[in-house]
Amino acid sequence: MAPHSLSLLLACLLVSSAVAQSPVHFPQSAYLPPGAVGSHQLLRGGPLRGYFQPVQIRVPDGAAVSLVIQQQFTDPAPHATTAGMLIGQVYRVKVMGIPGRPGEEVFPTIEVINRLHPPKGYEARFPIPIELTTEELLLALQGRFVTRVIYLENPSDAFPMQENPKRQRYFEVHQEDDPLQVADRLGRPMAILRMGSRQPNTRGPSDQFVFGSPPLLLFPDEYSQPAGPITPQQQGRSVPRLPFDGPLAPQLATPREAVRR
Amino acid sequence: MSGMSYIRCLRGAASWLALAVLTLSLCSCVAQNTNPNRFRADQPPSRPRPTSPFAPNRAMAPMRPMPPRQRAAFAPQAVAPMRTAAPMQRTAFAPPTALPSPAVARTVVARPVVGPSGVAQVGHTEPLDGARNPVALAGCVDCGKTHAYSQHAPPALPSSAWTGPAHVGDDPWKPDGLYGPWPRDEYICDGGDQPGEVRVRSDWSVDGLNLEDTIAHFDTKDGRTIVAPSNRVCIYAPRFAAVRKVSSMVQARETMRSAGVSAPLRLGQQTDSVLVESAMQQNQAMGEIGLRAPIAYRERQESVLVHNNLAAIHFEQGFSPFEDLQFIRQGAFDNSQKARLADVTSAALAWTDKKGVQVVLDHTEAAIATTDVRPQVTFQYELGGKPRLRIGKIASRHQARPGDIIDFTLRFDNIGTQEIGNVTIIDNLTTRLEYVPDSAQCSLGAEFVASENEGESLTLRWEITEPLPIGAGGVIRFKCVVR
Repeated sequence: MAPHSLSLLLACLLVSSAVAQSPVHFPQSAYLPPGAVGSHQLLRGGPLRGYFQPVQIRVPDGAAVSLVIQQQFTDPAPHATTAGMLIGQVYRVKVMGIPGRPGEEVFPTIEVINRLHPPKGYEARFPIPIELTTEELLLALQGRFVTRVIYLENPSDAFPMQENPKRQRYFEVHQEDDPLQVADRLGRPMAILRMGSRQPNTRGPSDQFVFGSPPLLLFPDEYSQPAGPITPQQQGRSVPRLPFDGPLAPQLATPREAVRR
Repeated sequence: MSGMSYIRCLRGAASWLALAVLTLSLCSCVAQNTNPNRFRADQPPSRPRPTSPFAPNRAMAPMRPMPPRQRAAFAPQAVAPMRTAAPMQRTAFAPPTALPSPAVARTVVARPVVGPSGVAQVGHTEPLDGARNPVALAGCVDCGKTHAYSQHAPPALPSSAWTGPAHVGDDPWKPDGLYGPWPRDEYICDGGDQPGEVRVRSDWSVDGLNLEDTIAHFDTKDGRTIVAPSNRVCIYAPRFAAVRKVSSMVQARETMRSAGVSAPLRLGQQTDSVLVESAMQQNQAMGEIGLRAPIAYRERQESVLVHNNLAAIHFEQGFSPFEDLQFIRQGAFDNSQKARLADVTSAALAWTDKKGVQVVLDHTEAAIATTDVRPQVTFQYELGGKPRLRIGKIASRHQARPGDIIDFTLRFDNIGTQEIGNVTIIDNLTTRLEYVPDSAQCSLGAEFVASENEGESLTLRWEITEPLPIGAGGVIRFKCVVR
């Protein structure tokens, strides 16, 4: 009896130590091709398929950003633009007017891999903010590859500082670390921004370059303001509803006047 | 043979040692569970309270009559006029009888009765839209009960967004339009009493106060200290950050350097050793040096606990638009304001949750006359002289972005059948909420204390100076910035 109790005690100790050191397997990685992580998310099920998650893209002062609708870049929007993007799709973005580098352009990609569940009618007020800093744009022009994983912070482990609405807080990871896995430890990964020096063909962006120009929703410019108190314009105006009844056809999007590059 | 016996002896000793370790661990666990003072002192009292006959340790003191009121009795029909918080003088209440245990205060936690006999579950109906969402019944695999659920997704989500059956019963609050699991990481909540019940020691220090907790504790005439949690308010306020990595085609760059430098050194100087030729005799002391008294005295003072004692400056007489409710103005539920009250609480069903406040105290079930799941529930209790404090919490908005300011309002009422004293309301703010300085108001005379908590936010504490008569109540307001 006594040897059994001793072995039971040792077994309990071993199990407890094994549980404390249980490794976590991350099947996803930020090094996967664009669209792979979001596609895996869709396979897991849940209310992801067909939902247009609002995303706000911010660029530095003086720069402008344009999206792709039907293989054509839209009119450049200064400072920021807000659009609803499908989860699992890859959206090509063009950034121009980079400070100190006139005439040069960067073409990042954005992949939304999760969604928010805001109160009804407030979908556009809580977009996923994706900030393109001047430093990152210059790094991309120098041939570097910038990967930025935007994650939703866990309130129980929140950073105890006041958030700057015009400057997104980020952490730099080492070369041996996967930013998607680090973001998963810190919170819930929502989107992946990839930015390099890849340029379209001289004849214009190909279908492969713009990843088939998936459908998106454009929001009015008043929803592209940085986070902060509700503006008087938004206070008394109803927020446009997103089509929740299923996937949108591309023609339902209301693009601005498209310009051919 | 002797070696085998030695091994057997070792086995036997090891077995007995293991049994002893297990017994000691079990005993220590039992001792920790039964020791009422095992909790860490999270919130020490803001200051040494004056000993009051309300406390059990003054049970042997002679009975004293009730002190004359310093102000008019708080009328439940109106909020007390604007006033400045006076220096706090704790109530001196004479206990009617000597207490059986003068050393340890007895803490009673006001909690609803959980289970089939709990009053919170009676008449619970889930607000399903029957026209747009046909309701069906199905057995739940998890709990084995029969639940009603919507066959279609709510109108705010696509059909694939159906997140599970809508449990009917004692489920906690969920966001409107979301059935089943809901994303808690998109909300910041405040109020209630999280697991790890709040307990109050005999010196009024509070243990087990977690982040987001909002509770009130008060003393009764028979020497008990009762804890009453508020309802829970959830606000949609997601916050984002990013993880960045910059890489290039050249992942590693290695720079070679010289392994070392060989530079032989030669003698640069020669030093000769010289013998000592003379010696100096040590001289004796020629005189006495007088001792002088110190000209300065440095006082050494022991470190004391420092608190930031702030007094409420004033209380605004008017009510904000979101506070214009009978529950806040008069402490009474109005049937016509069901929808508005449910809207501002944001956690309407939490009133009937485990953290609700209108449920039985002192582990005694109350007889229910009428009930509902709404926050405007009317319960009828046979209290039998039981003390009771109701505390409710509302927020000015349901959603907020970083930088937004949220107004919180707490309404507390003595709904028991005896006067209570030493009423203290504590709100332990979560990390994402930052208290706006000088925004705390209280309609009654109270001492306000703000101290840092473990979430690098603040713990707000109001100590009501005067006892609370039957039917009386008050309102507390403060503002927070969403981080």
